[in-house]
Amino acid sequence: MSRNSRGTSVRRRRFVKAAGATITVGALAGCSGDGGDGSDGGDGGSGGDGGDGGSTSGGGGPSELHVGTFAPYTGPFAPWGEAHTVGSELAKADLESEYDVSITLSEYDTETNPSAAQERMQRAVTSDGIDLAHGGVSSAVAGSIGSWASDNGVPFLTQGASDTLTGSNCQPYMFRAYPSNTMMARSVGGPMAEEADSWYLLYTDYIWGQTAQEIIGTVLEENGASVVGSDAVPGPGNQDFTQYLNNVANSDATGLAMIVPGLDARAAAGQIQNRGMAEDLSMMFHQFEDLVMWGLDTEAASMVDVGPTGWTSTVEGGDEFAQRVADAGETDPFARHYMAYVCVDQAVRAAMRAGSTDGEAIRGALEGHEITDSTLNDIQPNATLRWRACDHQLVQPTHLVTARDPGEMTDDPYKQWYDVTGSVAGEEVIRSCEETGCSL
Amino acid sequence: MVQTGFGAVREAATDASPAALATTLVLAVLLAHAFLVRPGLFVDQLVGGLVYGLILVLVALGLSIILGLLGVVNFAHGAFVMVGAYLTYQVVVAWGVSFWAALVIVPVLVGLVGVAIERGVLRFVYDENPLIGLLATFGLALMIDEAVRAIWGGSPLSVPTPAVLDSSVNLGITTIARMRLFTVLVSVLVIVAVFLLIERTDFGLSVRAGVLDREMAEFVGVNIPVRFVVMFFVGAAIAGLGGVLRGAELGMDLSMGNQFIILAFVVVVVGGVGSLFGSVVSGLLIGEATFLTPLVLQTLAETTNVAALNVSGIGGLMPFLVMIAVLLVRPRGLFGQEGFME
Repeated sequence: MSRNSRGTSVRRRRFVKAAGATITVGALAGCSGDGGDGSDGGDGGSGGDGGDGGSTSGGGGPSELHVGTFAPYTGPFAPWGEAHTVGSELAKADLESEYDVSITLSEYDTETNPSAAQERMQRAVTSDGIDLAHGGVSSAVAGSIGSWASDNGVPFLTQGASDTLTGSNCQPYMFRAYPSNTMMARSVGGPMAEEADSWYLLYTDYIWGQTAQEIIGTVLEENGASVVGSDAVPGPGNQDFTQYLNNVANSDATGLAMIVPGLDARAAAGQIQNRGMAEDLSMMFHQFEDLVMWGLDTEAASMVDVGPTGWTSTVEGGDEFAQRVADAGETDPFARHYMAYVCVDQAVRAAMRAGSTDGEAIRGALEGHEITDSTLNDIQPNATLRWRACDHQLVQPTHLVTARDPGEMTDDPYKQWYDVTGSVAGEEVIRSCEETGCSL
Repeated sequence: MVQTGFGAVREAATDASPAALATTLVLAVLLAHAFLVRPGLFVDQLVGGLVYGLILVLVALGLSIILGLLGVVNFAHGAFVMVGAYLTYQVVVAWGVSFWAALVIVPVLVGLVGVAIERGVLRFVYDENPLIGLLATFGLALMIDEAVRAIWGGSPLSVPTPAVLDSSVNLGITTIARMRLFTVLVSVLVIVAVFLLIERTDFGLSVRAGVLDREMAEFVGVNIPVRFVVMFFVGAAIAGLGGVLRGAELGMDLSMGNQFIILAFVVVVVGGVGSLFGSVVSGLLIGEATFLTPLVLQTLAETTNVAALNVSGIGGLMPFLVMIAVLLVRPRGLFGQEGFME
């Protein structure tokens, strides 16, 4: 959507809210009486505000905000959903103590189903009246709800990693808080080349995996290493890696790159461990998130030689935040807690700066904004954080982790199994604006 | 009806057309080529395909029994597998019982769930249009999904396995995870046990008689409803056993039922509805096709220098490509009853 269509977007959002309210009232009058959505455990909200979002106080910024958290609360990615909730609640507490604002958080279960997620986004906007939205672990989900939200003027900050979210599918009111796939891949290629000379790449056969394996392969060769083989693996949802591990075992590879998401990576790691392959290979796990390995024993979890991540609890300066996460939820701190915190923090601060939750106002408040006045600066004191205007990517460091020896992995006060070995500034690895294919 | 004999093999071989023989020859040449180019990998994939095929057989066997005997398209079969996996978590983690005991307890519990469903729902639809049974079991599958979600939550779970099953074993020609090897052994035992039950016992004889002519069997004093309940119990218990083994190896989540029901139906349809032997052959065929086809194409691409032959992700498509090929040539499946689905 181009800038000169702003007015259309705002009017459409108002229309959708009004239509939603009308439909809701009509349904109630018609005694449909289903009373709930059965899906998300959210509070259902209190209806739209009928305006540009939020209730505005005399001080300029909104005095009330309704933020929708869209995450997988059921299905294989359910632990990621809980992290969204905890990160959001911590941000809410900090923001409410800093500003004169009351924030209501509502949860919406996206499962891993783009159409179901979009239906919930529609209801969240038209019936529950959310002002701001964030979440979306799966890039397919994020793209679906981000597109709908943006078309209807609702700001949406996402955690999807696929390049397309800030590329060909970028949206005027969608912003990405998570490092892009390219940023992660470019960050890890060099360290991989230092780990091993010849690599085998196993990648999940969709855009995220394909993109990462292409970039990693290129960077490896630029750094003097070689790719001796690669296999496209079905998924997400693949649990059986036998035939692909057979290929690796019969190759000359001295390193294995696992470019597979979430629980697929966990299943693969278990099978690699059972076959005793980790002892002979350097192991890289792309877009590494600690939680993936916590389901394994420490011996298996120690196979990670290198992996790029957006945040982990051992990032310098993150101790206090990690402790708060551990105190607040059931899941030990990992990247998604931090990213959810970033999303809510940045969405609300943008609304306070802009004095509105309107999509265009949030866009104006975030584009080109360098984060210098947030608690995020305390959590990552050495990081430069900036919202890029051309594609709405948060420029931020990518951290490289390696596993501790099993005996050095600690669970108290929260799991710390991986150490940060280095960080790559966002500016060094982010795509140029021309490369993204985004035309905002 | 359920067929377990080997006569169908002879029939199929005798009926083979020149085109089928030519196809077989081409496949043999391609496999030989793959073996010559990458012998070590070929053996690894051959063994891997065998293991995977037997796991598929274990999951599909219960479905085949229920479909072949009772004529019910049991869409809830995948849900039985999932319930088996979650009950394993309940027994091993929540109750603290050993994994070895769970191997017995869980199939019995899932079998009882199956009996409750058979008595409570399915017995009323035996004489109805098969579509009614399919819809009924589809509804049951949804109910079971939600019940599992309500009891154990939506998060994936896992169970600790005995240390003896945690590592791998070197078979000389390849290395295989002990858990997988154990699954293979259990699968073979179950296949043999089911074969003996149906082919070599009076009980099996009376069941087969009931399937052939229920009225006549009841006329001579066979209690057919009880036998059908027992066979439903057996089918559900085998699914539960599959759930124990898969859950122990890979953990459990709410999607596993749906993952298995599709593949189980593919195995049964390719093997021929009603043929246990067909299900075994089909499972092995699909397992080998899934593992060997990528290698065959990869070696062919290497030899011919035509990279396009190395089709990405072909392994995951093979169950469905095999099904399409078999049904085009032989709509009743490899060993299905003549006239059925033709």
